[in-house]
Amino acid sequence: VTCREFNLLLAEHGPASLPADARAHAASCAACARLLSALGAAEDPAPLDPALAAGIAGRLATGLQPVRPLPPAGYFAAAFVLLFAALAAVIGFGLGDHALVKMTPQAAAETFAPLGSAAILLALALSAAMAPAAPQHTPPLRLAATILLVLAFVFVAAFPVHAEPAFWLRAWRCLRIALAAGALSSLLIWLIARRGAILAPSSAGALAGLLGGLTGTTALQIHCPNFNGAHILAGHWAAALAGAAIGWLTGRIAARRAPA
Amino acid sequence: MRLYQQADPAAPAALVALLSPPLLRFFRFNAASREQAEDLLQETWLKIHRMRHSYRPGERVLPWVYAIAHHVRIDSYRRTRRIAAHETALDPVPEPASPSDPAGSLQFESLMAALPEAQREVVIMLKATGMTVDEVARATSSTIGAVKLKAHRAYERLRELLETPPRPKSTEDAR
Repeated sequence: VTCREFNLLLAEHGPASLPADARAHAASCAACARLLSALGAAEDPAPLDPALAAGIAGRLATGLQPVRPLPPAGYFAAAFVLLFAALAAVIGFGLGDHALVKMTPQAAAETFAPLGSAAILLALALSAAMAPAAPQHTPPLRLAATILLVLAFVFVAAFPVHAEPAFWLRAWRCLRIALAAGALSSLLIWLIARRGAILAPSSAGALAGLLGGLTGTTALQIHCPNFNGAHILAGHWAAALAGAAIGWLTGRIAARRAPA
Repeated sequence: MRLYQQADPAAPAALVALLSPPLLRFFRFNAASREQAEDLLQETWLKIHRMRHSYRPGERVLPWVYAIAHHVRIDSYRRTRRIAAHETALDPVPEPASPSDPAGSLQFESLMAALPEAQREVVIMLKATGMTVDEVARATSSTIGAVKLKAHRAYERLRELLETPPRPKSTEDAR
């Protein structure tokens, strides 16, 4: 074991449970022994005041009520995906499935497969954010940004961009519908998510807002027969972007106003 | 923890006795004064109490508790920074070292103070709480790879600090 490998083993196992070969190296290397000894020092710089401990325990025990533990994260993830799919279908088909009937099977697959996958990933991440210490594979904000970028790329690749008259007016008409659908969906998602214990409201807000915004985007992909890539970006995809931004901002404000 | 969720009257005292000493050590080593560390400890217990329904029986308790402690520490740091931005600083009053502090403790604290915040927190969690890398990753909402990288960099830095002999106070330092 070299000094560098010793550091790696220390990072891997922690000072308390170093493997025998790393300990043997420390016995023969002054620098590593110094590092290990420094980490082993200082067992208790601040012994706990028994009165403080008794005070905390007393406050916790006062009026203690039983609580029901949170169901497994998978239940919440399934609920979020179902809510997304049900609302997108009800709104999209309710407005009329004019886009879906005009789409080729390939275009439909290219549109709805990424939207569905994004919704599943967001639902899993949001359900993980509902309990402290749930394993996270990707930081929530990075996941939200990646999903937005991938969807923008997919839409531009699947639907050619061309000029059209009254572009902004048409985009705004679609965006209004998507934003309204997104607001309703985000609200329902948040009502479920708040049953957990959210430690980072801004990133959880971004995930909930993005999932809500994607409901609006998906509903419009079912309804709106305008296949101009620029229109889809400005009128449909922008709802997801706005949802993520509003959710993040709302969570940030909520975190700042939370009592200390 | 399950008994605490079921409102067993003996559970709070047992949990507080078991978890408070390492939690206090965690806050104390993270460069907080003793008073601040005790405030953060109380705040953490209030949050643990409010969030106790989010602990799923069968899961490991330590990462769950330290995830809450990690956020309490970050929130407190942000609050302090916001307040400090609106205040005019007076001459800092040095905090007297507790006479009961052993020399090793002081050396460890000064070494930790030289580390960047994220690295310091990871080293303290690994050292003071005995959690595994995976548990620290869960507690800090991070990945195992990121925790290993932070710990490795922290140990490199600590090694450098330990190999550098203490600089004698020059007249330039005194100025």
